[in-house]
Amino acid sequence: MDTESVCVSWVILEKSTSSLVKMSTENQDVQFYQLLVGVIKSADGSREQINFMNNLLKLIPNLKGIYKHYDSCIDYQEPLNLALTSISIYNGNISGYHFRKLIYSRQLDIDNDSPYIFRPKFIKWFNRILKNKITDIYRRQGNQPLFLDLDNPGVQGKPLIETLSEIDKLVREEQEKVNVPIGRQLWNYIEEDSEGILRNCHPKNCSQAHCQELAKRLLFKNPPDKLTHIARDLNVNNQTLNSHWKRTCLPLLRSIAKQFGYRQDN
Amino acid sequence: MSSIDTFFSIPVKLNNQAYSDAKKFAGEQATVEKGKQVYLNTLAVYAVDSYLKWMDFETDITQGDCWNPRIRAISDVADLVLPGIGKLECRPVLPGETTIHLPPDNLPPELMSDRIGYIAVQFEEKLDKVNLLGFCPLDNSEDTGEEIKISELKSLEEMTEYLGDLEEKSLSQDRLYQMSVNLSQWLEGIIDNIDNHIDKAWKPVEEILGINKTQLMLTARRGDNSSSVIRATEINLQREDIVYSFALVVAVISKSSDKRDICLQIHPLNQAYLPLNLKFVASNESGILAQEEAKHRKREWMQLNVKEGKPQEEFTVKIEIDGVIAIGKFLI
Repeated sequence: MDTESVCVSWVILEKSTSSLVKMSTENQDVQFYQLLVGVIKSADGSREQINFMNNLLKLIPNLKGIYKHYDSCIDYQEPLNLALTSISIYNGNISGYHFRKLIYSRQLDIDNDSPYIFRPKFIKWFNRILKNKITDIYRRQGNQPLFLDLDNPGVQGKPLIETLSEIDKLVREEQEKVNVPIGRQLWNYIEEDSEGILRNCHPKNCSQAHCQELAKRLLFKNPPDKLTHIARDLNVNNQTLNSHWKRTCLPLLRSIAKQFGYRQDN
Repeated sequence: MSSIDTFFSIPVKLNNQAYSDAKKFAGEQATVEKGKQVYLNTLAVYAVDSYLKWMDFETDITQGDCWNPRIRAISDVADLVLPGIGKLECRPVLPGETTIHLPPDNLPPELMSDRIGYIAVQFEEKLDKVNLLGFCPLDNSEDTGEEIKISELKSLEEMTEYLGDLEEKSLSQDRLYQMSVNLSQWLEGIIDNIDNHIDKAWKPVEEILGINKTQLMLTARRGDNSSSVIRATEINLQREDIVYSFALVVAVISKSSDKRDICLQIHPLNQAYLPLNLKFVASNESGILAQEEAKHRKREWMQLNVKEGKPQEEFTVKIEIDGVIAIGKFLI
């Protein structure tokens, strides 16, 4: 059995740092780490920190893993500069504040952790900031839709219908293709309750507040009734009904639904 | 009708798969109204999924309740699973609506507990795009009202920061789960029928351990007439150049309709004995249920018993050797 199949349900957490780092990336990681330490440990706004920060900001766009956005509608340099500015400035001045916050929130130890773990953590954090700046620009440019399909970046989807008001017709046509849709079969099963499982499931001394009645009014009715109204109608304590519905009926209905599905499949 | 917008909304185009699945899922429903609800829920989940993937979050759209044909037929669900983090509920907003409507009455409390927030997905009359309007974090499901005003939503930038923190927190606390292993489903006999990649990792014990060692597991189901299922999986933990291979064997024994005993064993696969200091722990929210540690050499296997678990209860199993950890989450 291979490791991959295990990792589907198991997560292996390696606390040590991998030594299999390519040379070029290794050098970049060390350089990044040294500049990061310089920025964090220098006094905010000091000449020393400004030097470290300038070199760091020059290095970041070339770091392995930095997100590149290719769209002729957008000048990539603009969101990149905005992202770099947002991480290097605090209260209007050059500061290591955001880097210190990153180190703290990621529970990194700048003095004792391996230099190689800082770049990947930074990249993930920075790319999200950069992408948020990109979406800001799309929004500013007049609500141009941002297409985010990673698997098929060049292929935009075409809705099968043009407008919201056509959904009913589409759904009706689709439902007519199926003899009895599974949703209808399931509703019928619950409405019939031939074994009386749902009708017999009710709070003590409140036989009228059984699961079938509640399912009809809370799941099948559109819009659903409010629990408080049902409690009043059925002359049941609101708290009792709420608890019965959530703790007994819903798990029972989900269990019935799941079993019903498997019976259908098999 | 005019649309309510947030100044930070993000317009998103969907792919053909989204439209196609939405139509298919809607066609399975009992009524046109229910079909429309499912259609919009599916598109909303796809829109959020594509955005979060772009933001480099791991998602698993197929693991949500809304992907289960039976559950979506009886519930108003639009959940997106972020493995190790939780579920985001993607709520459609129609033209003219100024609030997002929450469906608090169709999920049991234990299922609400893994919801980490709501994200509003706005539809306009034209269906060629949707707008991600904003986000509302959810810390305590019991406190959720029935609706949230769109004007009170937080920005998606705040959401990515929030999710990023949760992602890091789950990693740092060794609490990263891909998904649950549903043990009740094993008892329902579906392991051999359902095309589920999780269960493919769980094989008959003799396939993993060989015939001789399989005898050990007989203890797990001896002595009563209750039904049981036993499966095993292989776990490899690597520490620098050393690879430790283990078989984790899990026996689920149904004592009654609402009581299950779980027996867990760990065996070495690439050596005769378990490595010294190997820790084997089962725990749930209340604390440690059972634990063992290989404190002496020549320990051939270790066993944990989780007694009288109830359906829908969860527990985790941790295997740790020299700081390398594997964690699995089990749903009884």
